Amino acid sequence: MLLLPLLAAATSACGILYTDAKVPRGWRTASPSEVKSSPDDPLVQGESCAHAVLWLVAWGDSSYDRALKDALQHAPGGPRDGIMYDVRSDLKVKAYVLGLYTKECTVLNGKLAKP
Amino acid sequence: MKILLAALLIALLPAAGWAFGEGDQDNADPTDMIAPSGLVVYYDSSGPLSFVSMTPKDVPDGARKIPRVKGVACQRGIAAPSLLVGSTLDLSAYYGDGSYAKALRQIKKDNPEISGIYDVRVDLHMFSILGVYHSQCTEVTARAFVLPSAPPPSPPPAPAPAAKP
Repeated sequence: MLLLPLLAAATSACGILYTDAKVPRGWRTASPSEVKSSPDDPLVQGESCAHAVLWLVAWGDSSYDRALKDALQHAPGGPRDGIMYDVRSDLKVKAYVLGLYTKECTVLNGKLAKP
Repeated sequence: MKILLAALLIALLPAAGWAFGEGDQDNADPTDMIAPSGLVVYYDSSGPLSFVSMTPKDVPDGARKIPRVKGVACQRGIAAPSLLVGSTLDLSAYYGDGSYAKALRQIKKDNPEISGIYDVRVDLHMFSILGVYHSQCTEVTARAFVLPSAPPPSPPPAPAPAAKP
């Protein structure tokens, strides 16, 4: 019976002693018809992560905003501004030893149009 | 026994499907209110619920674009932990305005010239220390646009000078 709350705590990006973490909530992304899209628009990927150790301490930034910054930073041809569209947003969680260490990442995949 | 178990599972399936069906919720889910714990002596808080934001298509032609604006609105809480671990006798109080309205007011205050925002990302910033102090902030990050200012209204035409007799 104790396992379920522990697993819930381990995957909730919250620490009992200290928490300073950003988590994604919502993003109404654009479709191709809603931006100045072109067939040459590059595919970009961005990731942002938060961590928790021993269910006691949690930190990091797995926000949409950070993941988008990461995607723009690693755009093909160097960092540039743009609007992501056709976005797939996924959550990637890694937990070891019943969640003694947990890493929770927001992963964005999409195309980048001119702003 | 196995038949009984199978019948129980089959009987529970529709309920599970009803409970977890995707997209069939039509009521508000207040999961983004700051979560109270212990004996709550005071709770006066607002949190984000829904916001259908604009996309780039909704930006009027000719509008000047601003690449990034940000507004933050926070709910906060204080708890006085009791000496008994797991006791529900902790006293706690929660307050603050973490609503979309507050975050958008802050964006408007910081950027009074903007006419609207689009490509809006919403994130939650959770902070807590020793279970005594909690904050949960709604962070709204977006692009913004400014509509070209309308020409000032022209003054009414001056009355024609009266003809001298």
